[in-house]
Amino acid sequence: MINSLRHNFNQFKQAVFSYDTWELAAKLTLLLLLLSPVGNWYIRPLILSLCISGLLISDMYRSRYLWGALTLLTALRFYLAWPLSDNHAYLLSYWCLAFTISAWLKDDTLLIKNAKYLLAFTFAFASWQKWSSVEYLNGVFFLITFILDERFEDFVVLFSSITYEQIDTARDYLEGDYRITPAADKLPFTIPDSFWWLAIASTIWNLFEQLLIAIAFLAPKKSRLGQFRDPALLVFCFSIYAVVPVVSFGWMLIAMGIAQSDKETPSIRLWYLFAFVTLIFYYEVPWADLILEST
Amino acid sequence: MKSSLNHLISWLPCIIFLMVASNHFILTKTQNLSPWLGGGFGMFASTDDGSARFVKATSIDVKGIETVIPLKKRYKHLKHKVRALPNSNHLNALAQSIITHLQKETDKKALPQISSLRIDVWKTQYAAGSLRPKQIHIAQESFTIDHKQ
Repeated sequence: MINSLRHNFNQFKQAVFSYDTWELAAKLTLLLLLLSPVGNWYIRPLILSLCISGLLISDMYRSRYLWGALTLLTALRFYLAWPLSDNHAYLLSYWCLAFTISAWLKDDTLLIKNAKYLLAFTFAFASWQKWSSVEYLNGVFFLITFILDERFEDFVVLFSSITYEQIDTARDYLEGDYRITPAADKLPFTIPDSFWWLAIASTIWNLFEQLLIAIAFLAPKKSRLGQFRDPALLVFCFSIYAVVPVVSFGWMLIAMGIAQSDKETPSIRLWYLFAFVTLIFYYEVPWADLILEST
Repeated sequence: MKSSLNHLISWLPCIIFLMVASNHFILTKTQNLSPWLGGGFGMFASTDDGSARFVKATSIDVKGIETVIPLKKRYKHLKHKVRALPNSNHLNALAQSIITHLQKETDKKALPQISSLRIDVWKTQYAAGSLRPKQIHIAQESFTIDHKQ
């Protein structure tokens, strides 16, 4: 039984190792567009049809026309919704453009180059925005977000001593309309120390981690920091997406990570694939809620 | 010539990334674009997202009576754009949509004509320490309605 499982896993590992990084990144990008469809009613069916074609028709994933069409559709999506699209809508479009250019000019290294710099710029801008935001640095951002953003509710109740009732009370206070009558001086309850510490730890960890990834991707690959780029990106994906349910952004980062990963160290590809699958479980399984219910 | 053009094209995703991010930076400083939006990767860095902003549209009829227009359903998409980026284009688009609807309503119900419309936008700031919220007025624009047309 164990030997059979080991054999199957080795077969799977060999299959992953034999994958070309371009092909794997392309197929994962098409897959993420299928798993997390984007666009309005007239863009979405076109994108989905293209992705199905790319995955099912032999070598279609290499087509410059496929990637050109996806670039136009994903760009049209954020152009029409300007400025309401999330940041990953923009990144998706740049990423599809990178595939188009690489396929058009028949040069795989162009995808590697763009994957590396798109990752570097994404994390550089994300960390710079945090560094230049006073309310991020003084901890207000996470204190407010942990209370107001429902997606973090279970997480903060699990990892601090704040209660659901306190969160509801705080929301009433923080979301009030104070354009005519000013708000009361402070919250109607004392914020627990554990909640403050959770916000402070999140503030420091996020900034540190994102800055480190940006530097690692900008540094030469063979430098000490450059060698740290894949582990740093993987730690980010395994940690942040357990809490922040923006799974399609995570999948895109993983596809980019695979594209730029070293062909001579295929085990990294396996780790990225493992992260891709793990994110599905993070997204679908309400783990914090399940732990809270069982305690 | 061809190879230098190909070289330039090969950098296009990164060039566009930097151009859009620079545009985001300018718009946050000059036109109150929400830091979360616009391709500058400012998500999870600021509390100033669309849901923490307020938009109020007030119509003023020929008698000077002010009425607050509920910005629901038909105006939702334009309202979200105004919240995210309260510049002249978005304020004007929302105002034109409201004015067109109001003029139809006043004609149908024989109500006093609307003479102007005012749109205000606020964002919310939270004090360090106490987290006390405060709404800051960030945009206002008035639109006069010409009934001769």
